[in-house]
Amino acid sequence: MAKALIMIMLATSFFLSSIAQVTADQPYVGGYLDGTVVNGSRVIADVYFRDTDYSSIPSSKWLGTVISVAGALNNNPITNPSGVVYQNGLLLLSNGSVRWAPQAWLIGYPLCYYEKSVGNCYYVAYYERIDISSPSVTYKIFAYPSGQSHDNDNPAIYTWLNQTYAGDTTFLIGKQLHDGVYYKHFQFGVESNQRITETQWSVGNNMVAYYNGTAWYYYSGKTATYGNNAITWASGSAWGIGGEAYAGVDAVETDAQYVRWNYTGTSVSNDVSLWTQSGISYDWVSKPYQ
Amino acid sequence: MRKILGFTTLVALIIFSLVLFVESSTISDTDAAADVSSDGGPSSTSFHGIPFLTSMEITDPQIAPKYGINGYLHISNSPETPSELTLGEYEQCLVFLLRFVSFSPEVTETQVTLDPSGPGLSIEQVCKTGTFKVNDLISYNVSKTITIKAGETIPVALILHKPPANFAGWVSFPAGPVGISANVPIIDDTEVTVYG
Repeated sequence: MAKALIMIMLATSFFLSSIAQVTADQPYVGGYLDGTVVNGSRVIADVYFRDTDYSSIPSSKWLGTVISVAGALNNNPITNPSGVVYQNGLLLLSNGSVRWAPQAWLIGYPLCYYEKSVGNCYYVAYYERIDISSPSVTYKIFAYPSGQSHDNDNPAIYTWLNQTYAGDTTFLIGKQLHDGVYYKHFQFGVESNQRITETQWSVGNNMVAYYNGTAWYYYSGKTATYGNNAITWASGSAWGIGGEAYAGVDAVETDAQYVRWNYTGTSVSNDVSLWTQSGISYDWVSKPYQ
Repeated sequence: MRKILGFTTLVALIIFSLVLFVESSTISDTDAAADVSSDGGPSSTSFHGIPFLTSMEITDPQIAPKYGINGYLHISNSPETPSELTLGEYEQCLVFLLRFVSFSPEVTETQVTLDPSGPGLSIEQVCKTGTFKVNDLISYNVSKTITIKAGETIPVALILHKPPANFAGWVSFPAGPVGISANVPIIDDTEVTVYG
């Protein structure tokens, strides 16, 4: 009897710690636009997975690339976030399919969620974009399946219409110091449910920008590692993207508005410069996202 | 004596299990404030992570309720609906399956709105001659709002019309159940590509 109870308790302990471990993962590494905090009505990044051997990703894992932005009321004053974070992300799965999962969060709970398959890893480009126009938020994906569709600027455009939360009317872009913490209000990067170490995966983030009312604009870019990547504050706490540092991921290729994240085994440090330029974003597509 | 030893071992294991669980949970929820202060200067602000959820987490009854998710709507192709089709001269009928999964005995049903011109997903296709909205080509065979009980699967027929003649330059476009909204997370597993 005692032996049976011991076995049950050991199994229970293993089971409970396993559940906690699942939620403890969510490795993340990203970047942010490093400039004075301003309001923006749209954010965007061009992302791709095409250099990744998807077949080496275990079926229990996903490789994501996510843009995240803090919501705010523009009379609150303009630099005070509401605590809501809007996220638009794509996931590469072990079968090569790419799924889209827009979502919004407040103090650790999701406010809305949608998921749909939007293509595969061979697509030459996807643009992830989030627009705010109170009382609505639209999450968009511009999917370019081939070089021809890219050259001709003929994407399929997926839009998920949802609502703003906490009275948000605008997004915050850039960086600000609040109560001793630097908040990086618009971030882009890579995230998984668990670290993918089985292949030297590669994810590109390009044309990272925000819309300032007249043009797509960008600041210089720096890395933001987990724990140093607070994006908003709420209920007296700082809230950052992910659940732990994505160990082994480096920023191996950079240029203005561009970084390629690569699992090499070497971890990129926090606040490393990705690019120093800033200005109006010029794209090689004729901006159907304009 | 043997009984006392067994009981003591049992109590010790219970305490060990709880400590292990609480420690693991704490790691998942909060990091030390030092992580924040190392970047922004002296601060006592606590730091929390925001996870990114996917269908792997949302469909897991062990994980989803931790985030206040009590169920989800799953949409899939019916077995007779192809993932690729050629749109000839006539409209096409495609059948999709809507299933509501509940994690709570208190959540017994959900209301789902199907309105191609309403909130939810919309799809546009850019082609040589302009941009057409796939939602404008779609109508449903059911009323605008339906109730789906927990565990129930409801087939919904979607009528897909041809794009207007002035968009003749299109090569292919994605189609599927657009304009669907509900008060629970939606996981849309449908995949249909239409060719000319």
